[in-house]
Amino acid sequence: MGPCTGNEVCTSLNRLFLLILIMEIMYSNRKIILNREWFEIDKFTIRFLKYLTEAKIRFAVISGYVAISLGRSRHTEDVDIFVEKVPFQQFKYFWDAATLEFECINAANADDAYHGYLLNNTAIRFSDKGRYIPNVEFKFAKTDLDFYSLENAIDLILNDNLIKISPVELQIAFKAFLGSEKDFEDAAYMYEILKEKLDLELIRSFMIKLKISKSAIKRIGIPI
Amino acid sequence: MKIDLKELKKDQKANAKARLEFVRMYAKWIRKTPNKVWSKTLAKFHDGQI
Repeated sequence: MGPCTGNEVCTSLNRLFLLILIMEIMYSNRKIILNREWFEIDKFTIRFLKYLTEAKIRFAVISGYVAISLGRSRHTEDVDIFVEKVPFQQFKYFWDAATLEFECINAANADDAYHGYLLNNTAIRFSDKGRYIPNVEFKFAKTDLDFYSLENAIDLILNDNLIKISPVELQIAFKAFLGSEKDFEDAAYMYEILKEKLDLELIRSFMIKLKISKSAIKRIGIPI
Repeated sequence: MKIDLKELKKDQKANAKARLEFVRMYAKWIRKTPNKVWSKTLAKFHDGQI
């Protein structure tokens, strides 16, 4: 291919070439591109996220689904997402559209969901109608780390579908903070899969803020 | 019945270590295997639960 001369297409191409090939996952700082067979939970997640996008509500998918989407072999019953706190009318717009396809398992209506659950820092859950699992665990961002996830969310492009996910560096550190065996395994998996492209200093800074022990960091496989 | 909690704790620790080792080995396999291959296997694994 000939040299690019600065037009928009060439800039995009140059950017594409800057992406690093890790297995068959293309990863730059802000974007993971992955083409693979569909899992049912991918389709469920993408169907649900469409309603948030249509309501112009920012979100970040976190935790197990992210590891699973990258190939981790474990089951999950829910997809965890942080959502920006929006005015009730905007939430109601989302609710009215989403509940045509999904049902909220624990809240009776939009008012109950917003005022009774979300504003009290309690998650609401959505599943396909008549099914409890899988479900989306939906909560408003509350802590500084939640807001960091939203503001610094990266793009996971799965089979040409955009899924906003929390930065992997934060997810690894937070998994270590949560501390169950499953969490350590998720953290070790995501680190091993993407280690060449992760910002180690960023992981370490989160680890310090979360007061993660050196032995825990070592267990994940991160050099101290 | 006599339960040796010390011994169980030791086994629990060894089991966790072995599982983490497996996860790392598995990640290495994923990295060197075409997406189409590993994801086909995983689709069966995941979708079998739903």
